[in-house]
Amino acid sequence: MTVYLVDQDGADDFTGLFVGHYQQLLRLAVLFVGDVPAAEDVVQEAFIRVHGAVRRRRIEDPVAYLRQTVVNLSRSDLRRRLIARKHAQRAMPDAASAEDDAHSALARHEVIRALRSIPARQREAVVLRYWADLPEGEVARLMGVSVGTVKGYTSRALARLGQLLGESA
Amino acid sequence: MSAPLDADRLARLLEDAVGSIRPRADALDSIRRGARRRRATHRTVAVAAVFAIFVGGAIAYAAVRGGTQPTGPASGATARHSRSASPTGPAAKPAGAHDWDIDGDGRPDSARIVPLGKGDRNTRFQLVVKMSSLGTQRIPFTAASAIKSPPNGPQIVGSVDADSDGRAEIFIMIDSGAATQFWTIFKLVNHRITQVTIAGQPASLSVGGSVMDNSGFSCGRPRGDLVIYGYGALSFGAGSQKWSVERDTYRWAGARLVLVSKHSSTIRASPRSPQLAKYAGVRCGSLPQYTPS
Repeated sequence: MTVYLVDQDGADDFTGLFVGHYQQLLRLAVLFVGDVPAAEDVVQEAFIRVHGAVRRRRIEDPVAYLRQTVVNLSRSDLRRRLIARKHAQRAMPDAASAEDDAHSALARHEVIRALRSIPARQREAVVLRYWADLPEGEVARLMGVSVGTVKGYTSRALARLGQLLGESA
Repeated sequence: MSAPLDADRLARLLEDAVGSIRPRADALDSIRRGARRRRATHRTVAVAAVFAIFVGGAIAYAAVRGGTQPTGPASGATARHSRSASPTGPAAKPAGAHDWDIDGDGRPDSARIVPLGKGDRNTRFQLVVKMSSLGTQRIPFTAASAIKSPPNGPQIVGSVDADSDGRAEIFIMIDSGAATQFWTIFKLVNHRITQVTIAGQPASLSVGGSVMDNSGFSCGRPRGDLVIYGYGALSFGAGSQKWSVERDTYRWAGARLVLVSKHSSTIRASPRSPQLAKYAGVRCGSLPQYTPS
């Protein structure tokens, strides 16, 4: 069996981008939307958007572009699903799939449940700042807010998460 | 009294929660297919926009000249344009009876597609297969609407024994753009006609493309495998160019196609070279070949 995930001479920039960053962006999207299939959709869409531009060398920093797109699409996805949840009954699946099992395992994580219960902007701020380990300035740029606002979001998020996860003083 | 969560502890907890999440095996392929499909849609929209400007200009010109508006010729041109917007190569056969042996009893069977919804935006369809030994079966499936997939929505492309099991599979075009089509497959498994899946999703084979990128598949050899291939330009200039080429081999397992090998590399070739042509077109019995034009 021949399996090459990267081109043999490494000349395909897009494949390199995928191999280097897809997994991390997928995990980032999971933390935003709390759901593996939805996160896969978000990250796939981000990569499709960047695909043509990378081939034409139109983007100076494709990783930053991808990260920004994942943040924006995750917000859209959350909004769309909140509206859908209000208007539609969720159909019962016929049988649990492997993806469902993975999803259930994720949902069982206490920190994921806690993260879901705080406001979306606070969630974005703590995930980008502490999990993605981005500087406050970069988090502010991605979220389209000031550095001071990011500080406020992260402070309130950590306090609330401390309550939810039962951190003792 | 609760204390704020420590930032390092939060980072560790989050990493524990998502650290085991891995990309699906077909993630890169899905992205490339999606990107091809997106480009094809953009081309269709661009062609339609140019055409609309041309027709609008012609009508305005006729009105200014005081002549009759060219409604007759314009309608005819629209119909011809709709057809030319579909991929090059032999035209897909219209939906209707197909005299192929789907149940493997040596007698001819037939298949047709029936829309389950109304209007040009309907995306729900039903494949109705009439078999001489098993009677009629109806299988719902999803395809691009007639509005997105000109001229008439999904169409039966053909029916050949792709996996060499003595029973013919049914190939249906479910979406198309200016130069690319997407085909799905139905096959008889345990006496039921079933839509074939790849990685848990309904199979969607990309067929056709442009001089910059193209794709297709072959069937039958070796061991009845289905081989999906494609190429895309990495650089484009005078003389020999650089191309990314891919070839994935799938093995049949009931109604599933399972990836058994994956190969991608970079080659240098001219756009018309046989070396590149190996990665385009359909080579599967009597199915339309869709060789690059």
